Amino acid sequence: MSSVKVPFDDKAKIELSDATLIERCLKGEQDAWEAIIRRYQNLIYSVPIRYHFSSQDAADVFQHVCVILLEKLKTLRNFETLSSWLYITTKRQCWKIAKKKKMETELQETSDEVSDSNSENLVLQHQIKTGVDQLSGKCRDLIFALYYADPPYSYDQITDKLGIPFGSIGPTRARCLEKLRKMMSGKD
Amino acid sequence: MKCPEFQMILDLLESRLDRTQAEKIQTHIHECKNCGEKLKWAQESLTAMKSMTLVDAPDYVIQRAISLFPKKAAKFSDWVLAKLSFDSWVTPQLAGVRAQDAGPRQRIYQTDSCKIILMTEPDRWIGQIVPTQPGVETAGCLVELTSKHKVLKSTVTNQNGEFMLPGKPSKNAELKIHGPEAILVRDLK
Repeated sequence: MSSVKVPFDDKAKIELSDATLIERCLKGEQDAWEAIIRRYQNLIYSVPIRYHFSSQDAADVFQHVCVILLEKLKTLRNFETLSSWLYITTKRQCWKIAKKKKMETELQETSDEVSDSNSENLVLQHQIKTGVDQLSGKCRDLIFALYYADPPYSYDQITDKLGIPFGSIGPTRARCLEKLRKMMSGKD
Repeated sequence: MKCPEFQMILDLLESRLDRTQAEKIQTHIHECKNCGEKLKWAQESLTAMKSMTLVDAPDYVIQRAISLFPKKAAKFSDWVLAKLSFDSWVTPQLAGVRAQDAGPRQRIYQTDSCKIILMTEPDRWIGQIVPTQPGVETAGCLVELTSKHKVLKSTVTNQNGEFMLPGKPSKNAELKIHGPEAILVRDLK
């Protein structure tokens, strides 16, 4: 059976799994590579920023990590957690650059500040954000309004701006979060 | 008690239940592994959402990384061969300078869009890609040191288009630059 090539629209870029995107990269599809970079850009960039790197050094770390990713695509094909791999690789790259620039002491101090649980949280934040982006428009908007907006929207504002009746906000947010949970645990 | 709906677990987490309801659900959750896992997931996820610290990379950083992807695996005919336009070891020395004082070898290669300045030291290559046309981006280019089609080392140019690669000059060494064009630099010995 011949495979059907799914058109590469914005929706596909968000919804396709890492494994599919990597497979498409290996077939030479530039769009798939772009989708991977856009999906993980905030995770990769946030690591050096968290270690107080300058924006220039953070940009260098980012580029190096992407070169490594490109080189390792074949071996990452069946990798379940690309976010964790990218996080560890970026962290290593930060240390390499710090060593080169002889700023290891500063990095060690910052590293002590950034506890392991915080660091893991960066990966979790990314996994959740990616999941939320894959939800339908209504769910995505509601979750953003309730949990990402600073300050969060009040129920009145949600009714006003998103058009969700006051009494439906609680059940809708539960449905949306349940969907997200199932999606993240692969049950959806 | 039957497993509560997910909404109730969220309400418990967000303190939206009255005391009796909350206690009832808490007792159930304490005994039910499945509901306990749901509560744990909700706790961790909502905390992660509310304490979002991910920072978006600037657009130029994203674009630079996107442009790393080899443009349809450049065929041999797509590679632009950079022409040698200067070699410090070939240029006659100034009067009074001895040949062995020539220092590291410096060469300049040229293409239509850029110059590649290359300095060879015994154990490394130091180079810079300099645009010769407006709008040509030389930062973030992938530079590969290859020999007999095998990549030995690779690096990425910095914001000034500079790069450094460890390695000894050898007969078959070539530099492949995935930059403004797919550039091949030969005759590196």
